[in-house]
Amino acid sequence: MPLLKVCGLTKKFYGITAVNNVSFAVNTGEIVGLIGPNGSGKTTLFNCITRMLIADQGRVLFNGEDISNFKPAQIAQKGLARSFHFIRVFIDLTVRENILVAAQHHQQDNDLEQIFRTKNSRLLDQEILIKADKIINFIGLQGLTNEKAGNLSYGQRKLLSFSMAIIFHPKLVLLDEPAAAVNPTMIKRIGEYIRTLNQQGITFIIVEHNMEFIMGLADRIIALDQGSIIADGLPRDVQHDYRVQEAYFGV
Amino acid sequence: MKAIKENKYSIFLIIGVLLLVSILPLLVNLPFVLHVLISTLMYIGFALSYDIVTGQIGAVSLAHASFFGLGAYVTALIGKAIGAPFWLNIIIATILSIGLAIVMSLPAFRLSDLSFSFATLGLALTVQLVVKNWVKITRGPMCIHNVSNSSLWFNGILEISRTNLIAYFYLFLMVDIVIIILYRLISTGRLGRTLTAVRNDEVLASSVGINIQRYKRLTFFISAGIAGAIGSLWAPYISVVCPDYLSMDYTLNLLAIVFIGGSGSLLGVVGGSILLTVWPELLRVTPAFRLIIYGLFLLIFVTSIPNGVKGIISNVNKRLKIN
Ligand SMILES: Nc1ncnc2c1ncn2[C@@H]1O[C@H](COP(=O)(O)OP(=O)(O)O)[C@@H](O)[C@H]1O
Ligand SMILES: [Mg+2]
Repeated sequence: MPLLKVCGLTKKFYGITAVNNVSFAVNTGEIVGLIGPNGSGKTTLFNCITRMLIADQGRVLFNGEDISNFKPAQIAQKGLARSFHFIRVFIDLTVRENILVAAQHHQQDNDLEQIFRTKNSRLLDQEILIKADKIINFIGLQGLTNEKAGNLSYGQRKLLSFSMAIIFHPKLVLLDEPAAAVNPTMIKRIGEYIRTLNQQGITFIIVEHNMEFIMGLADRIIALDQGSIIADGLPRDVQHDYRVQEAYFGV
Repeated sequence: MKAIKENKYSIFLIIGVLLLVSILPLLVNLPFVLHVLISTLMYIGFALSYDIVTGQIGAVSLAHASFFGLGAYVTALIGKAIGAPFWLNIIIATILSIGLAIVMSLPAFRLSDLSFSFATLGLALTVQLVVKNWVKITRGPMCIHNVSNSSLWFNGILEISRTNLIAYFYLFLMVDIVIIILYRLISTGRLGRTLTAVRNDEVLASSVGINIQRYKRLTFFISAGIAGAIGSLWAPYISVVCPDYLSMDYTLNLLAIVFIGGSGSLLGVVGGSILLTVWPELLRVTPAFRLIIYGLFLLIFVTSIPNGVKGIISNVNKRLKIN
Protein backbone atom coordinates (compact mmCIF):
# COMPACT_ATOMS: atom_id res chain seq x y z
CA MET A 1 0.00 0.00 0.00
CA PRO A 2 1.45 3.38 -0.98
CA LEU A 3 1.81 6.03 1.73
CA LEU A 4 0.17 8.70 -0.42
CA LYS A 5 -2.19 8.10 -3.28
CA VAL A 6 -3.52 11.01 -5.34
CA CYS A 7 -6.35 10.12 -7.72
CA GLY A 8 -7.56 12.45 -10.45
CA LEU A 9 -7.01 15.68 -8.52
CA THR A 10 -8.28 18.75 -10.36
CA LYS A 11 -8.37 22.40 -9.29
CA LYS A 12 -9.61 25.27 -11.41
CA PHE A 13 -9.30 29.00 -10.72
CA TYR A 14 -11.88 30.80 -12.81
CA GLY A 15 -10.77 29.87 -16.34
CA ILE A 16 -7.36 28.42 -15.43
CA THR A 17 -6.95 24.74 -14.67
CA ALA A 18 -4.10 24.91 -12.16
CA VAL A 19 -4.11 21.17 -11.43
CA ASN A 20 -5.45 18.92 -14.15
CA ASN A 21 -6.48 15.35 -13.35
CA VAL A 22 -3.27 14.53 -11.47
CA SER A 23 -2.72 10.97 -10.23
CA PHE A 24 0.36 9.48 -8.62
CA ALA A 25 1.42 7.39 -5.65
CA VAL A 26 4.35 7.71 -3.27
CA ASN A 27 5.76 4.82 -1.24
CA THR A 28 7.16 4.99 2.26
CA GLY A 29 10.84 5.90 2.27
CA GLU A 30 10.90 7.70 -1.06
CA ILE A 31 12.21 11.18 -1.77
CA VAL A 32 10.16 12.46 -4.68
CA GLY A 33 11.10 15.64 -6.51
CA LEU A 34 8.26 17.67 -8.02
CA ILE A 35 9.42 19.94 -10.80
CA GLY A 36 7.83 22.15 -13.41
CA PRO A 37 8.03 25.71 -14.70
CA ASN A 38 6.50 28.59 -12.71
CA GLY A 39 2.73 28.42 -12.71
CA SER A 40 2.61 24.72 -13.54
CA GLY A 41 0.53 23.98 -10.44
CA LYS A 42 3.04 22.58 -7.91
CA THR A 43 2.02 24.80 -5.00
CA THR A 44 -1.67 24.37 -5.82
CA LEU A 45 -1.18 20.59 -5.80
CA PHE A 46 0.36 20.78 -2.30
CA ASN A 47 -2.48 23.02 -1.17
CA CYS A 48 -5.07 20.54 -2.43
CA ILE A 49 -3.37 17.54 -0.81
CA THR A 50 -3.26 19.31 2.58
CA ARG A 51 -6.77 20.76 2.06
CA MET A 52 -5.61 24.35 2.38
CA LEU A 53 -7.49 24.54 -0.92
CA ILE A 54 -10.49 22.38 -1.73
CA ALA A 55 -10.04 20.46 -4.98
CA ASP A 56 -12.83 20.45 -7.54
CA GLN A 57 -12.36 16.76 -8.22
CA GLY A 58 -10.31 13.81 -7.10
CA ARG A 59 -9.38 12.01 -3.93
CA VAL A 60 -6.34 11.81 -1.69
CA LEU A 61 -5.53 8.67 0.30
CA PHE A 62 -2.97 8.89 3.06
CA ASN A 63 -1.84 5.67 4.67
CA GLY A 64 -4.87 3.99 3.11
CA GLU A 65 -7.30 6.49 4.59
CA ASP A 66 -9.36 8.87 2.47
CA ILE A 67 -8.39 12.35 3.72
CA SER A 68 -10.26 14.23 0.98
CA ASN A 69 -12.75 15.63 3.46
CA PHE A 70 -10.43 16.24 6.40
CA LYS A 71 -9.54 19.66 7.81
CA PRO A 72 -5.91 20.83 7.45
CA ALA A 73 -5.28 20.40 11.19
CA GLN A 74 -6.59 16.82 11.11
CA ILE A 75 -4.36 16.01 8.17
CA ALA A 76 -1.35 17.35 10.06
CA GLN A 77 -2.29 15.20 13.03
CA LYS A 78 -2.37 12.13 10.81
CA GLY A 79 1.32 12.77 10.13
CA LEU A 80 1.34 14.78 6.92
CA ALA A 81 3.46 17.92 7.32
CA ARG A 82 4.30 20.73 4.93
CA SER A 83 6.28 23.90 4.49
CA PHE A 84 5.13 26.91 2.50
CA HIS A 85 6.33 28.52 -0.70
CA PHE A 86 6.14 31.92 1.00
CA ILE A 87 7.87 31.15 4.28
CA ARG A 88 5.66 31.40 7.33
CA VAL A 89 6.74 31.50 10.98
CA PHE A 90 4.99 32.72 14.12
CA ILE A 91 6.62 36.14 14.45
CA ASP A 92 5.68 36.81 18.08
CA LEU A 93 7.10 33.49 19.29
CA THR A 94 10.78 32.77 19.81
CA VAL A 95 12.66 30.21 17.73
CA ARG A 96 12.23 27.62 20.45
CA GLU A 97 8.55 28.44 20.98
CA ASN A 98 7.89 28.10 17.26
CA ILE A 99 9.24 24.57 17.34
CA LEU A 100 7.43 23.74 20.58
CA VAL A 101 4.09 24.94 19.26
CA ALA A 102 4.57 22.88 16.11
CA ALA A 103 5.19 19.76 18.20
CA GLN A 104 2.70 20.17 21.00
CA HIS A 105 -0.49 19.41 19.12
CA HIS A 106 0.54 15.84 18.80
CA GLN A 107 0.45 15.31 22.55
CA GLN A 108 -2.36 13.82 24.52
CA ASP A 109 -3.36 16.12 27.34
CA ASN A 110 -6.35 18.41 27.55
CA ASP A 111 -6.60 22.18 27.89
CA LEU A 112 -7.46 22.11 31.58
CA GLU A 113 -4.35 20.06 32.32
CA GLN A 114 -2.36 22.64 30.38
CA ILE A 115 -3.94 25.65 32.10
CA PHE A 116 -3.38 24.25 35.58
CA ARG A 117 0.02 22.73 34.78
CA THR A 118 -0.69 19.22 36.05
CA LYS A 119 2.21 16.87 36.61
CA ASN A 120 1.43 14.93 33.46
CA SER A 121 1.33 18.16 31.48
CA ARG A 122 4.65 19.35 32.91
CA LEU A 123 6.29 16.05 32.01
CA LEU A 124 5.10 16.44 28.43
CA ASP A 125 6.45 20.01 28.44
CA GLN A 126 9.84 18.69 29.46
CA GLU A 127 9.72 16.02 26.77
CA ILE A 128 9.12 18.39 23.86
CA LEU A 129 11.55 20.93 25.23
CA ILE A 130 14.37 18.41 24.96
CA LYS A 131 13.28 17.48 21.44
CA ALA A 132 13.07 21.11 20.38
CA ASP A 133 16.53 21.99 21.69
CA LYS A 134 17.98 18.98 19.92
CA ILE A 135 16.58 20.11 16.61
CA ILE A 136 17.71 23.71 17.19
CA ASN A 137 21.26 22.43 17.63
CA PHE A 138 20.97 20.25 14.58
CA ILE A 139 19.97 23.13 12.29
CA GLY A 140 22.53 25.41 13.92
CA LEU A 141 20.20 28.04 15.34
CA GLN A 142 21.30 27.51 18.96
CA GLY A 143 22.56 31.10 19.21
CA LEU A 144 19.06 32.34 18.42
CA THR A 145 16.98 30.03 20.63
CA ASN A 146 15.27 32.89 22.46
CA GLU A 147 15.14 35.32 19.55
CA LYS A 148 11.70 36.29 18.20
CA ALA A 149 11.14 34.59 14.85
CA GLY A 150 10.09 37.99 13.50
CA ASN A 151 13.73 39.11 13.85
CA LEU A 152 15.25 36.25 11.85
CA SER A 153 16.76 36.54 8.39
CA TYR A 154 15.08 34.85 5.45
CA GLY A 155 17.44 31.89 5.48
CA GLN A 156 17.04 31.43 9.23
CA ARG A 157 13.25 31.52 8.87
CA LYS A 158 13.53 28.89 6.20
CA LEU A 159 15.50 26.59 8.49
CA LEU A 160 13.03 27.26 11.27
CA SER A 161 9.95 26.54 9.17
CA PHE A 162 11.64 23.40 7.96
CA SER A 163 12.24 22.28 11.57
CA MET A 164 8.62 23.02 12.41
CA ALA A 165 7.48 20.74 9.60
CA ILE A 166 9.50 17.78 10.82
CA ILE A 167 9.46 18.17 14.64
CA PHE A 168 6.32 16.13 15.15
CA HIS A 169 7.75 13.07 13.40
CA PRO A 170 5.47 13.15 10.39
CA LYS A 171 5.26 10.22 8.02
CA LEU A 172 5.28 12.44 4.97
CA VAL A 173 6.64 15.95 4.46
CA LEU A 174 5.79 18.24 1.56
CA LEU A 175 8.47 20.90 1.07
CA ASP A 176 7.80 23.85 -1.23
CA GLU A 177 11.10 25.19 -2.61
CA PRO A 178 13.30 24.64 0.46
CA ALA A 179 16.45 25.74 -1.37
CA ALA A 180 15.15 28.85 -3.14
CA ALA A 181 16.92 32.09 -2.16
CA VAL A 182 19.12 30.24 0.31
CA ASN A 183 22.92 30.44 0.23
CA PRO A 184 24.92 27.40 -0.97
CA THR A 185 26.15 26.38 2.51
CA MET A 186 22.63 26.43 3.83
CA ILE A 187 21.38 24.47 0.81
CA LYS A 188 23.96 21.81 1.51
CA ARG A 189 22.89 21.66 5.12
CA ILE A 190 19.21 21.32 4.23
CA GLY A 191 20.09 18.53 1.79
CA GLU A 192 22.04 16.60 4.39
CA TYR A 193 19.27 17.08 6.86
CA ILE A 194 16.63 15.72 4.50
CA ARG A 195 18.80 12.67 3.81
CA THR A 196 19.29 11.96 7.52
CA LEU A 197 15.58 12.20 8.18
CA ASN A 198 14.83 10.02 5.19
CA GLN A 199 17.10 7.35 6.60
CA GLN A 200 15.03 7.55 9.77
CA GLY A 201 11.98 6.63 7.68
CA ILE A 202 10.43 10.00 6.78
CA THR A 203 9.10 10.27 3.22
CA PHE A 204 9.47 13.53 1.25
CA ILE A 205 7.90 15.24 -1.70
CA ILE A 206 9.99 18.28 -2.60
CA VAL A 207 9.19 21.08 -5.02
CA GLU A 208 12.42 22.64 -6.22
CA HIS A 209 13.78 24.68 -9.12
CA ASN A 210 17.41 24.11 -8.19
CA MET A 211 18.07 21.15 -10.52
CA GLU A 212 21.44 20.21 -9.09
CA PHE A 213 19.93 20.05 -5.60
CA ILE A 214 16.81 18.09 -6.46
CA MET A 215 18.38 15.70 -8.97
CA GLY A 216 21.03 14.77 -6.42
CA LEU A 217 18.53 14.26 -3.64
CA ALA A 218 15.46 12.63 -5.18
CA ASP A 219 14.95 8.93 -5.93
CA ARG A 220 12.28 9.85 -8.40
CA ILE A 221 11.08 12.96 -10.23
CA ILE A 222 7.55 13.96 -11.21
CA ALA A 223 7.34 16.78 -13.77
CA LEU A 224 4.28 19.01 -14.10
CA ASP A 225 3.38 21.31 -16.94
CA GLN A 226 0.21 23.39 -17.04
CA GLY A 227 -1.30 21.33 -14.30
CA SER A 228 -0.68 17.90 -15.82
CA ILE A 229 1.98 15.29 -15.14
CA ILE A 230 4.26 15.07 -18.19
CA ALA A 231 6.92 12.74 -16.80
CA ASP A 232 7.40 10.46 -13.81
CA GLY A 233 10.57 8.42 -13.36
CA LEU A 234 14.23 8.31 -12.41
CA PRO A 235 15.91 11.73 -12.18
CA ARG A 236 18.24 11.02 -15.11
CA ASP A 237 15.41 9.91 -17.39
CA VAL A 238 13.07 12.75 -16.53
CA GLN A 239 15.81 15.34 -16.98
CA HIS A 240 16.40 14.16 -20.52
CA ASP A 241 12.73 13.66 -21.37
CA TYR A 242 11.97 15.81 -24.41
CA ARG A 243 8.62 16.98 -22.97
CA VAL A 244 10.36 18.26 -19.88
CA GLN A 245 13.00 19.98 -21.98
CA GLU A 246 10.24 21.53 -24.03
CA ALA A 247 8.30 22.71 -20.98
CA TYR A 248 11.37 24.31 -19.45
CA PHE A 249 13.23 25.64 -22.45
CA GLY A 250 10.62 25.60 -25.17
CA VAL A 251 12.81 23.49 -27.47
CA MET B 1 -0.80 43.18 15.93
CA LYS B 2 2.65 43.32 17.39
CA ALA B 3 3.19 41.96 20.86
CA ILE B 4 6.16 43.13 22.82
CA LYS B 5 8.14 40.80 25.00
CA GLU B 6 6.97 40.99 28.53
CA ASN B 7 8.98 40.66 31.66
CA LYS B 8 8.64 37.22 33.19
CA TYR B 9 8.06 38.76 36.57
CA SER B 10 5.32 41.20 35.57
CA ILE B 11 2.72 39.15 37.42
CA PHE B 12 4.63 39.56 40.68
CA LEU B 13 5.02 43.26 39.95
CA ILE B 14 1.29 43.67 39.43
CA ILE B 15 0.24 41.61 42.42
CA GLY B 16 2.78 43.51 44.52
CA VAL B 17 1.35 46.83 43.35
CA LEU B 18 -2.16 45.58 44.08
CA LEU B 19 -1.11 44.61 47.59
CA LEU B 20 0.31 48.10 48.04
CA VAL B 21 -2.94 49.53 46.71
CA SER B 22 -4.76 47.36 49.21
CA ILE B 23 -3.64 49.57 52.09
CA LEU B 24 -4.89 52.70 50.31
CA PRO B 25 -8.45 52.56 51.71
CA LEU B 26 -6.99 52.54 55.19
CA LEU B 27 -5.16 55.80 54.42
CA VAL B 28 -7.73 57.72 52.40
CA ASN B 29 -11.22 56.77 53.41
CA LEU B 30 -13.05 59.13 51.04
CA PRO B 31 -16.09 57.69 49.21
CA PHE B 32 -15.13 59.34 45.94
CA VAL B 33 -11.59 57.97 46.02
CA LEU B 34 -12.86 54.52 46.95
CA HIS B 35 -15.40 54.60 44.14
CA VAL B 36 -12.67 55.43 41.62
CA LEU B 37 -10.53 52.61 43.00
CA ILE B 38 -13.40 50.10 42.83
CA SER B 39 -14.28 51.16 39.27
CA THR B 40 -10.67 50.74 38.28
CA LEU B 41 -10.50 47.28 39.81
CA MET B 42 -13.71 46.33 38.03
CA TYR B 43 -12.31 47.49 34.69
CA ILE B 44 -9.02 45.66 35.25
CA GLY B 45 -10.83 42.32 35.59
CA PHE B 46 -13.28 43.13 32.81
CA ALA B 47 -10.54 44.24 30.39
CA LEU B 48 -8.33 41.23 31.18
CA SER B 49 -11.24 38.92 30.42
CA TYR B 50 -11.73 40.76 27.12
CA ASP B 51 -8.06 40.52 26.25
CA ILE B 52 -8.09 36.72 26.54
CA VAL B 53 -10.10 36.53 23.35
CA THR B 54 -9.22 39.82 21.63
CA GLY B 55 -5.56 40.19 22.53
CA GLN B 56 -4.38 36.62 22.98
CA ILE B 57 -6.02 34.81 20.10
CA GLY B 58 -6.76 37.95 18.10
CA ALA B 59 -10.49 37.51 17.53
CA VAL B 60 -11.96 40.99 18.09
CA SER B 61 -15.31 40.28 19.72
CA LEU B 62 -17.81 43.12 20.00
CA ALA B 63 -20.19 41.17 22.23
CA HIS B 64 -18.29 41.35 25.48
CA ALA B 65 -20.74 43.72 27.21
CA SER B 66 -23.50 41.14 26.68
CA PHE B 67 -21.87 38.80 29.17
CA PHE B 68 -21.21 41.54 31.70
CA GLY B 69 -24.83 42.69 31.38
CA LEU B 70 -26.16 39.15 31.61
CA GLY B 71 -24.18 38.58 34.81
CA ALA B 72 -25.54 41.81 36.28
CA TYR B 73 -29.17 41.04 35.37
CA VAL B 74 -29.01 37.46 36.57
CA THR B 75 -27.66 38.62 39.91
CA ALA B 76 -30.27 41.38 40.26
CA LEU B 77 -33.07 38.90 39.49
CA ILE B 78 -31.75 36.24 41.84
CA GLY B 79 -31.54 38.92 44.52
CA LYS B 80 -35.23 39.76 44.04
CA ALA B 81 -36.26 36.10 44.11
CA ILE B 82 -34.07 34.60 46.81
CA GLY B 83 -31.15 36.07 48.69
CA ALA B 84 -28.26 34.03 47.36
CA PRO B 85 -24.69 34.54 48.57
CA PHE B 86 -22.40 36.44 46.21
CA TRP B 87 -20.30 33.42 45.30
CA LEU B 88 -23.37 31.45 44.21
CA ASN B 89 -24.47 34.45 42.11
CA ILE B 90 -21.03 34.47 40.50
CA ILE B 91 -21.22 30.77 39.70
CA ILE B 92 -24.69 31.07 38.16
CA ALA B 93 -23.74 34.21 36.22
CA THR B 94 -20.59 32.54 34.92
CA ILE B 95 -22.42 29.44 33.76
CA LEU B 96 -25.19 31.40 32.05
CA SER B 97 -22.66 33.71 30.36
CA ILE B 98 -20.78 30.72 29.01
CA GLY B 99 -24.14 29.36 27.83
CA LEU B 100 -24.84 32.61 25.97
CA ALA B 101 -21.32 32.51 24.51
CA ILE B 102 -21.92 28.97 23.26
CA VAL B 103 -25.13 30.06 21.55
CA MET B 104 -23.39 33.07 20.00
CA SER B 105 -20.44 30.99 18.85
CA LEU B 106 -22.65 28.80 16.68
CA PRO B 107 -23.08 31.41 13.95
CA ALA B 108 -20.17 33.71 14.79
CA PHE B 109 -17.32 31.21 14.62
CA ARG B 110 -18.14 30.12 11.13
CA LEU B 111 -16.70 33.49 10.15
CA SER B 112 -13.26 34.94 10.56
CA ASP B 113 -11.69 38.33 11.19
CA LEU B 114 -13.88 41.26 10.31
CA SER B 115 -17.01 39.23 9.64
CA PHE B 116 -16.60 37.65 13.06
CA SER B 117 -16.50 41.10 14.67
CA PHE B 118 -19.61 42.21 12.79
CA ALA B 119 -21.43 39.01 13.67
CA THR B 120 -20.69 39.49 17.37
CA LEU B 121 -21.83 43.12 17.06
CA GLY B 122 -25.14 41.99 15.57
CA LEU B 123 -25.60 39.38 18.27
CA ALA B 124 -24.80 41.86 21.03
CA LEU B 125 -27.36 44.34 19.70
CA THR B 126 -29.94 41.55 19.50
CA VAL B 127 -29.33 40.50 23.09
CA GLN B 128 -29.61 44.11 24.26
CA LEU B 129 -32.86 44.50 22.33
CA VAL B 130 -34.31 41.42 24.02
CA VAL B 131 -33.36 42.75 27.45
CA LYS B 132 -34.84 46.16 26.65
CA ASN B 133 -38.12 44.70 25.47
CA TRP B 134 -38.65 41.79 27.82
CA VAL B 135 -40.23 44.22 30.27
CA LYS B 136 -42.02 41.57 32.30
CA ILE B 137 -38.75 40.17 33.55
CA THR B 138 -36.16 42.90 33.12
CA ARG B 139 -38.45 45.96 33.55
CA GLY B 140 -36.88 47.09 30.27
CA PRO B 141 -35.75 50.72 30.14
CA MET B 142 -37.09 51.30 33.66
CA CYS B 143 -34.13 49.30 35.00
CA ILE B 144 -33.99 47.14 38.09
CA HIS B 145 -33.39 49.32 41.12
CA ASN B 146 -32.30 48.48 44.64
CA VAL B 147 -30.42 45.33 43.78
CA SER B 148 -29.92 43.30 46.96
CA ASN B 149 -26.63 43.75 48.71
CA SER B 150 -23.98 41.08 48.34
CA SER B 151 -23.93 38.65 51.22
CA LEU B 152 -21.65 35.85 52.25
CA TRP B 153 -24.52 33.45 52.97
CA PHE B 154 -28.19 32.84 52.10
CA ASN B 155 -31.05 35.12 53.20
CA GLY B 156 -28.82 38.13 53.58
CA ILE B 157 -26.75 36.59 56.34
CA LEU B 158 -23.42 38.43 56.58
CA GLU B 159 -24.57 41.11 54.17
CA ILE B 160 -22.10 43.59 52.70
CA SER B 161 -23.91 46.91 52.56
CA ARG B 162 -23.05 48.98 49.51
CA THR B 163 -22.23 51.84 51.78
CA ASN B 164 -19.37 49.67 53.00
CA LEU B 165 -17.05 50.69 50.18
CA ILE B 166 -13.99 49.23 51.83
CA ALA B 167 -15.51 45.75 51.79
CA TYR B 168 -16.37 46.05 48.09
CA PHE B 169 -12.89 47.32 47.42
CA TYR B 170 -11.37 44.16 48.92
CA LEU B 171 -13.92 41.94 47.20
CA PHE B 172 -12.97 43.32 43.78
CA LEU B 173 -9.30 43.19 44.68
CA MET B 174 -9.53 39.49 45.50
CA VAL B 175 -11.45 38.71 42.35
CA ASP B 176 -8.89 40.67 40.30
CA ILE B 177 -6.04 38.67 41.75
CA VAL B 178 -7.80 35.44 40.78
CA ILE B 179 -8.41 36.79 37.25
CA ILE B 180 -4.80 37.94 36.91
CA ILE B 181 -3.52 34.50 37.87
CA LEU B 182 -5.96 32.84 35.47
CA TYR B 183 -4.98 35.26 32.69
CA ARG B 184 -1.36 34.42 33.29
CA LEU B 185 -1.97 30.66 33.24
CA ILE B 186 -3.85 30.95 29.97
CA SER B 187 -1.50 33.36 28.19
CA THR B 188 1.74 31.52 28.96
CA GLY B 189 2.89 27.93 28.64
CA ARG B 190 1.61 25.62 25.99
CA LEU B 191 -1.84 27.12 25.74
CA GLY B 192 -0.40 30.63 25.51
CA ARG B 193 1.87 29.57 22.65
CA THR B 194 -1.06 28.05 20.83
CA LEU B 195 -3.07 31.26 21.15
CA THR B 196 -0.19 33.41 19.88
CA ALA B 197 0.30 31.00 16.98
CA VAL B 198 -3.33 31.31 15.94
CA ARG B 199 -3.15 35.11 16.23
CA ASN B 200 0.02 35.29 14.14
CA ASP B 201 -0.88 32.93 11.30
CA GLU B 202 -3.96 30.73 11.07
CA VAL B 203 -2.80 28.90 7.97
CA LEU B 204 0.54 27.93 9.47
CA ALA B 205 -1.18 27.08 12.76
CA SER B 206 -3.52 24.64 11.06
CA SER B 207 -0.61 23.11 9.16
CA VAL B 208 1.02 22.09 12.45
CA GLY B 209 -2.19 20.51 13.68
CA ILE B 210 -3.80 23.33 15.67
CA ASN B 211 -7.58 23.18 15.60
CA ILE B 212 -8.16 26.92 15.27
CA GLN B 213 -11.90 26.86 15.82
CA ARG B 214 -11.51 24.92 19.02
CA TYR B 215 -9.12 27.43 20.59
CA LYS B 216 -11.17 30.41 19.46
CA ARG B 217 -14.20 28.90 21.12
CA LEU B 218 -12.27 28.01 24.26
CA THR B 219 -10.99 31.58 24.76
CA PHE B 220 -14.37 33.05 23.85
CA PHE B 221 -16.10 30.91 26.49
CA ILE B 222 -13.55 31.58 29.22
CA SER B 223 -13.61 35.33 28.60
CA ALA B 224 -17.42 35.34 28.57
CA GLY B 225 -17.54 33.46 31.86
CA ILE B 226 -15.22 35.93 33.57
CA ALA B 227 -17.17 38.91 32.22
CA GLY B 228 -20.38 37.39 33.62
CA ALA B 229 -18.71 37.04 37.02
CA ILE B 230 -17.61 40.69 36.96
CA GLY B 231 -21.15 41.79 36.05
CA SER B 232 -22.48 39.73 38.93
CA LEU B 233 -20.19 41.53 41.38
CA TRP B 234 -20.89 44.96 39.91
CA ALA B 235 -24.71 44.87 40.09
CA PRO B 236 -25.06 44.90 43.92
CA TYR B 237 -22.33 47.51 44.24
CA ILE B 238 -23.89 49.95 41.78
CA SER B 239 -27.41 48.89 42.92
CA VAL B 240 -29.16 49.51 39.61
CA VAL B 241 -29.09 47.37 36.46
CA CYS B 242 -30.12 48.85 33.11
CA PRO B 243 -30.09 47.69 29.47
CA ASP B 244 -27.17 50.09 28.99
CA TYR B 245 -24.98 47.50 30.64
CA LEU B 246 -25.19 45.43 27.50
CA SER B 247 -24.49 48.37 25.21
CA MET B 248 -21.59 48.97 22.88
CA ASP B 249 -20.35 51.73 25.20
CA TYR B 250 -18.86 49.15 27.52
CA THR B 251 -17.33 47.17 24.69
CA LEU B 252 -15.86 50.33 23.17
CA ASN B 253 -14.35 51.25 26.54
CA LEU B 254 -12.73 47.82 26.61
CA LEU B 255 -11.42 48.19 23.08
CA ALA B 256 -9.88 51.53 24.04
CA ILE B 257 -8.33 50.06 27.19
CA VAL B 258 -6.92 47.02 25.45
CA PHE B 259 -5.53 48.81 22.42
CA ILE B 260 -4.27 51.89 24.22
CA GLY B 261 -2.79 49.80 27.00
CA GLY B 262 -1.42 47.11 24.73
CA SER B 263 -3.30 44.02 23.67
CA GLY B 264 -2.03 40.63 24.72
CA SER B 265 -0.02 42.04 27.61
CA LEU B 266 -0.88 41.78 31.29
CA LEU B 267 0.92 45.01 32.21
CA GLY B 268 -0.50 46.80 29.20
CA VAL B 269 -4.10 45.88 29.91
CA VAL B 270 -3.81 46.69 33.62
CA GLY B 271 -2.07 49.99 32.78
CA GLY B 272 -4.73 50.81 30.19
CA SER B 273 -7.52 50.11 32.67
CA ILE B 274 -5.99 52.42 35.24
CA LEU B 275 -5.37 55.15 32.70
CA LEU B 276 -8.82 55.06 31.13
CA THR B 277 -10.82 54.67 34.34
CA VAL B 278 -9.08 57.06 36.71
CA TRP B 279 -8.88 59.92 34.22
CA PRO B 280 -12.54 60.16 33.22
CA GLU B 281 -13.62 59.73 36.84
CA LEU B 282 -11.36 62.56 37.97
CA LEU B 283 -12.69 64.72 35.17
CA ARG B 284 -16.18 64.42 36.65
CA VAL B 285 -15.14 67.39 38.80
CA THR B 286 -15.43 69.54 35.68
CA PRO B 287 -18.49 68.01 34.00
CA ALA B 288 -18.66 70.66 31.31
CA PHE B 289 -15.22 69.92 29.92
CA ARG B 290 -15.10 66.24 30.79
CA LEU B 291 -15.69 64.71 27.40
CA ILE B 292 -13.62 67.30 25.58
CA ILE B 293 -10.61 66.78 27.81
CA TYR B 294 -11.03 63.00 27.70
CA GLY B 295 -11.25 63.04 23.92
CA LEU B 296 -8.19 65.25 23.57
CA PHE B 297 -6.29 63.06 25.97
CA LEU B 298 -7.10 59.94 23.94
CA LEU B 299 -6.11 61.67 20.73
CA ILE B 300 -2.77 62.86 22.08
CA PHE B 301 -2.05 59.51 23.66
CA VAL B 302 -2.80 57.46 20.57
CA THR B 303 -0.83 59.72 18.23
CA SER B 304 2.22 60.21 20.42
CA ILE B 305 2.58 56.74 21.94
CA PRO B 306 1.66 54.23 19.26
CA ASN B 307 2.57 51.13 21.25
CA GLY B 308 0.57 52.17 24.29
CA VAL B 309 1.42 51.54 27.91
CA LYS B 310 2.99 48.25 26.85
CA GLY B 311 5.37 50.17 24.59
CA ILE B 312 6.42 52.51 27.39
CA ILE B 313 7.05 49.55 29.68
CA SER B 314 9.13 47.70 27.12
CA ASN B 315 11.16 50.84 26.44
CA VAL B 316 11.87 51.18 30.14
CA ASN B 317 12.80 47.50 30.21
CA LYS B 318 15.20 48.01 27.33
CA ARG B 319 16.86 50.96 29.05
CA LEU B 320 17.25 49.03 32.25
CA LYS B 321 18.49 46.05 30.26
CA ILE B 322 16.23 43.65 32.08
CA ASN B 323 13.72 41.62 30.09
N1 LIG C 1 -5.43 31.54 -5.31
C1 LIG C 1 -5.34 31.59 -6.64
N2 LIG C 1 -6.27 32.26 -7.37
C2 LIG C 1 -6.20 32.29 -8.72
N3 LIG C 1 -5.25 31.67 -9.44
C3 LIG C 1 -4.30 30.98 -8.78
C4 LIG C 1 -4.29 30.90 -7.34
N4 LIG C 1 -3.22 30.14 -6.95
C5 LIG C 1 -2.60 29.77 -8.09
N5 LIG C 1 -3.24 30.27 -9.19
C6 LIG C 1 -2.87 30.03 -10.59
O1 LIG C 1 -2.73 28.63 -10.74
C7 LIG C 1 -1.61 28.32 -11.55
C8 LIG C 1 -0.63 27.44 -10.79
O2 LIG C 1 -0.02 28.19 -9.75
P1 LIG C 1 0.96 27.53 -8.69
O3 LIG C 1 0.32 26.32 -8.15
O4 LIG C 1 1.34 28.59 -7.71
O5 LIG C 1 2.20 27.15 -9.59
P2 LIG C 1 3.69 26.76 -9.16
O6 LIG C 1 3.75 26.55 -7.70
O7 LIG C 1 3.99 25.55 -9.95
O8 LIG C 1 4.54 27.91 -9.62
C9 LIG C 1 -1.00 29.65 -11.96
O9 LIG C 1 -1.51 29.98 -13.25
C10 LIG C 1 -1.51 30.60 -10.93
O10 LIG C 1 -1.63 31.91 -11.47
MG1 LIG D 1 4.94 27.52 -6.22
